[in-house]
Amino acid sequence: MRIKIGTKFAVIFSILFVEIVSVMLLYFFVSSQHEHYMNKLSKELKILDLAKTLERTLVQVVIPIDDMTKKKENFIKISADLENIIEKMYLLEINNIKGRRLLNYVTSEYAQFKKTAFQLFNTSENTDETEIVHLATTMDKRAVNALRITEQFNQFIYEEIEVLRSSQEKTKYLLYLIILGGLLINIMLILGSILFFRRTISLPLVSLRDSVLKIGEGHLDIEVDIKLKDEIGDLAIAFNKMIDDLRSVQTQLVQAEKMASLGQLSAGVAHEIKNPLTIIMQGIEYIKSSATDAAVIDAAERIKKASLRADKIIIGLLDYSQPAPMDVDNIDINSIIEETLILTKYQATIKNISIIKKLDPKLPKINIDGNLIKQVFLNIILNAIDALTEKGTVTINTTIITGQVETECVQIIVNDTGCGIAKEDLHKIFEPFFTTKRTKDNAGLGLAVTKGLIERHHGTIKIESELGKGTNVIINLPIS
Amino acid sequence: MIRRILLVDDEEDFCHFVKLNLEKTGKFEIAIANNGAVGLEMAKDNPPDLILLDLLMPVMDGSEVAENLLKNPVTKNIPIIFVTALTRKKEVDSHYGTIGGRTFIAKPIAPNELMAHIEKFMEQ
Repeated sequence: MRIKIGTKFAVIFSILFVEIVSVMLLYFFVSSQHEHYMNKLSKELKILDLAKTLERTLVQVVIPIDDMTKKKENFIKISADLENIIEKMYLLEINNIKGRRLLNYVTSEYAQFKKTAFQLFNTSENTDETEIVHLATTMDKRAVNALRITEQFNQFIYEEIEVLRSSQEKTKYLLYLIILGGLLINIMLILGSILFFRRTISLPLVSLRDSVLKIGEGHLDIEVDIKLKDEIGDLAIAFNKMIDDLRSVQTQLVQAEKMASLGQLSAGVAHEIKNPLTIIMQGIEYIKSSATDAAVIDAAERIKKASLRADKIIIGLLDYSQPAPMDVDNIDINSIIEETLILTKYQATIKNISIIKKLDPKLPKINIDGNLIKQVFLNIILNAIDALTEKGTVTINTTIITGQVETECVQIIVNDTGCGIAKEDLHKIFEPFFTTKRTKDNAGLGLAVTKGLIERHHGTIKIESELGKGTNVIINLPIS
Repeated sequence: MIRRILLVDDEEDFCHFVKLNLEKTGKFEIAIANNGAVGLEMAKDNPPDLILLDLLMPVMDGSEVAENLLKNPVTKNIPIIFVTALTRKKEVDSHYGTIGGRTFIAKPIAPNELMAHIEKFMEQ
């Protein structure tokens, strides 16, 4: 899958952002919860405080005081405190239903107690003794009841406080956990993204930089191995292509240099050799015509032939290194092929080779030197025939190549079903003096000259071959 | 009738064998000059029926000899055949504009070929 660097950055920063924001939100949520527990706890503690005072005060009421006058004084003193406490408790607004019910219960018991107390205090001296005793007992009972409920209430508040304390503890630990966890996740994410960017950006760029430096030092045998599917990957592909192009340009330059020096050398050598060769040919003729001994005449004849051969090689070399100016005309390639086939007919017939023509009749005429291109076809078709034993086939195909990035071309493919060319020889096939069939008539210049001629026409020539299966010679000549 | 030919060429051995081969036919008599200046003098002193003139020579090269021959009324009508190690007509023309259109023979040349050229030229 192809992901751009910008997208990678965006995704990683989004993840970091989301992580930080969610940790913060969680922290604020839990901390507000914690705050809430704290508030509640402090309220409950106040309630507890009041409830304890209430309990202590009630205990004072319950203590039996036989002296009724004292009891009355005591009650009046305490009842104000009690009411005050109860009022404060109400003011604290106990939200809990059970707590409120218990408080109400305490209040109502206290009210009953107060009512009974006043009844008791209002009795006169002539009131029945038993009545007084009854009221006093009821009053004490009420007070004990109120005390019991208050104790229950206290117990309940205690429990509440315990629950709140444990909740508050929990939220406190939760807060620590959130802070630590958030930090840990953050660090891991940052480390992760550092490693990720190091792997996908830093290291590839370093490797590219090293390659650039190596190229600067003249090493063209390197290749960048980056398999990323992003802009850096594209850069690596483009970079490798550039190295490839540089390599081929360098090869071409070396080849061109070789050709240029070969051209100069061969021109000089050719002219220098021609003079002594002329002397040899003149001298040998004299010997031949003067001699009477048949063996001498035969020897002279052989030397003459050797001289002629040497001359032919020199002319080939000159053709290759110092080509004559082109005589360009608008010519139909098919007709050149037909003319060439007339010239090669003899060689094909004696080897019983069939020539198949698949010539595209719609081929446009192109600007070429007819004689030079005929020389090209002659070389290639004779090579094809040479590669064949009895009963082989040579196929000549012409087509128009369109839709290529480059210019429109006429393509000529000469195929033979012959012996083929060994893989290790293929790359040397166009070099001058390279040949796989060295004979006295073949100096290995044919394909070198052929390639030179095609290149002078701004065309390309390529050879595909498999040993034992045959050979394809593919020539592209530009139409315009 | 024996034809007189002046051969101007700096290659002494070439001259030697051409002389032997041509004189062997009994049809020609060959005079030899090994450089252009000598050749020009010899042509003026004793005009031959035909001059075989090398192009690349020290002292005075073939084209200069030809120009001088054309300027001189005594020698201007003597036919000239250029003999050269330069191979192509265009190559020769580009080097020696003044001899454009004239016959030239490319070295190396077999004696019978040379003979054929000379005889063809003499007929004209």
